Amino acid sequence: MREMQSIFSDTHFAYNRYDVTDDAKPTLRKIADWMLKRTSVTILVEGHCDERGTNEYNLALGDQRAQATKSYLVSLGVSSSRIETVSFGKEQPLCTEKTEECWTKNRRAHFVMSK
Amino acid sequence: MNIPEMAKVRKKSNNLMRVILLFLISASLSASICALSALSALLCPSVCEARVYLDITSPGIKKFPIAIQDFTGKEALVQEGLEISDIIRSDLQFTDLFFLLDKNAFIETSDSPFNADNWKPLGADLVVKGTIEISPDGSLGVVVSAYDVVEMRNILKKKYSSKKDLVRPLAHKIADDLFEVITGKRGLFGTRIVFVGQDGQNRSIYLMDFDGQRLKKIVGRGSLTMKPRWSGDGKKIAYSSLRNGKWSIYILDFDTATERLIYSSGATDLAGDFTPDGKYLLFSSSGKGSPDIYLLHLGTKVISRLTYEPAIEVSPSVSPDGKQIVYVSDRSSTPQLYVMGIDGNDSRRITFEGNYNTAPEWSLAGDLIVFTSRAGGSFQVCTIKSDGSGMTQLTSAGNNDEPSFSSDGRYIIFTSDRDGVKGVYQMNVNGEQQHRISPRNIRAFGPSWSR
Repeated sequence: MREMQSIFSDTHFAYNRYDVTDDAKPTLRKIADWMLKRTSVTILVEGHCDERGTNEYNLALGDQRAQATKSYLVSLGVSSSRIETVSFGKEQPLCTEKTEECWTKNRRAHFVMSK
Repeated sequence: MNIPEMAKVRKKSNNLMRVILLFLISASLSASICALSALSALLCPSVCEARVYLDITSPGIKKFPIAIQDFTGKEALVQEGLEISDIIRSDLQFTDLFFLLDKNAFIETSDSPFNADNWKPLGADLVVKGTIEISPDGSLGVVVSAYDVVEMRNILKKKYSSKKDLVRPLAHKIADDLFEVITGKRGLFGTRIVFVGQDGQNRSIYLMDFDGQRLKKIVGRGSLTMKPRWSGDGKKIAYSSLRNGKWSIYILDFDTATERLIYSSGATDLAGDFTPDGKYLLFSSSGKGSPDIYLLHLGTKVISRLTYEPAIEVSPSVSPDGKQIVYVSDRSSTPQLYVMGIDGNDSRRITFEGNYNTAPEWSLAGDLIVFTSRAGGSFQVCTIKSDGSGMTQLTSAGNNDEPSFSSDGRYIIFTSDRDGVKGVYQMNVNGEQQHRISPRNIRAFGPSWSR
């Protein structure tokens, strides 16, 4: 039975893009440090999109966001086998308002610890 | 030869013709249309080709006037008779190609023999009669006859049989045959639609007839599922589902009512079209990093990779001749439509308007691709030719996505949120008559029309 626990704040992406932004890097460094100190922990990186965009393409975009985030963590020394990724496309929004603020919130990588 | 002798000879040859006619009709009671074409060829003094009564490809055609009489049967079967004829009328009405004569205006009763003089004044070009009986094994037997009013002859006589509880598919089969006799084209009355539905937290795949009847849940797993794709024979659907933290590809086989996992890379695998020959499934997978398009041979499970760009390449749809694929790529930095050969060669971009063009599907009926385009901040269904010309926007209300063609290419179904909650909508290929076809109490999306 996996215990899902959110450990760090979400990192965000520009509209329709999946490259790791400079704003995200401090959080990702923290996660990498944390994981390097706890060698048995594995995490799941979820990739999400805002509600604009088409269903299937958003799944691919969410997947690339999760993978780009994972790649960055791996580049900081975390072993690839300790990071899983999954895409939720636009299926799990945190908010539903049609505002820039809400859309930005939804374009995220979300980190969950899995034991 | 004097006149009385000539009359005798003529009478003899008329009788002979009558005997041949009767013999052939009784012999062909359970035969197909081919035998009857042969019959008419026998009787025709000159060359008779299979005639098309209504050319549906010609622009500005007049509706074809047809009279479907109530099918008759003994007392217990009157209800079935009415039901079958009603469904046939509804089917033909659906296509907007026919003028169904009002049965209250009929002069001739259903069980009287056909007499063209009863139909000419009503303006009918074709008359359809049917009789039903119960076979010893309890199945329904229906004999359908169609008569050409102008040429005053029987042009179709065919026997059908089915189980009593499958009246709708039976009626649709009859309507398909009539449609084909009249237009020379395959009808769509036996086709079906699947879509993904969510009520509460559960997601299921729903199935219904092309006209929205017989709606039922066929796969109910609770997991996120994307738009299914039909196999060419209508017996299987392929879809992607998120299970155990991975998007993998499943196939549901209707014959065996079983679902099986057919591909899982551990990353995000999304089902694309079956190829027309049924041997391969196109799909995209991010198993090697960026999502690329692959072909999976369903028999050997051998995979061929078709794209290699370090970009998102997804949503492959195959052309009706199986030689080309349309797909989405963001290699130019925005998602656009591309067309390439089935072997992955000769890729060329076809959309140049707008910065977001996705979800393509290639019509089975010819050179037309339907897709979703971001226009003015919302998503709209558009069509375009495979050479990139003729881009036409069809919708304008709400956000519209996941379009799918009907088997004859005359209709498009798609997802729309124009009423607030996502639902499945249908329209003509020119964008007219947009209306909802999924029930209001289900959040419905990802529709797909069987071939």
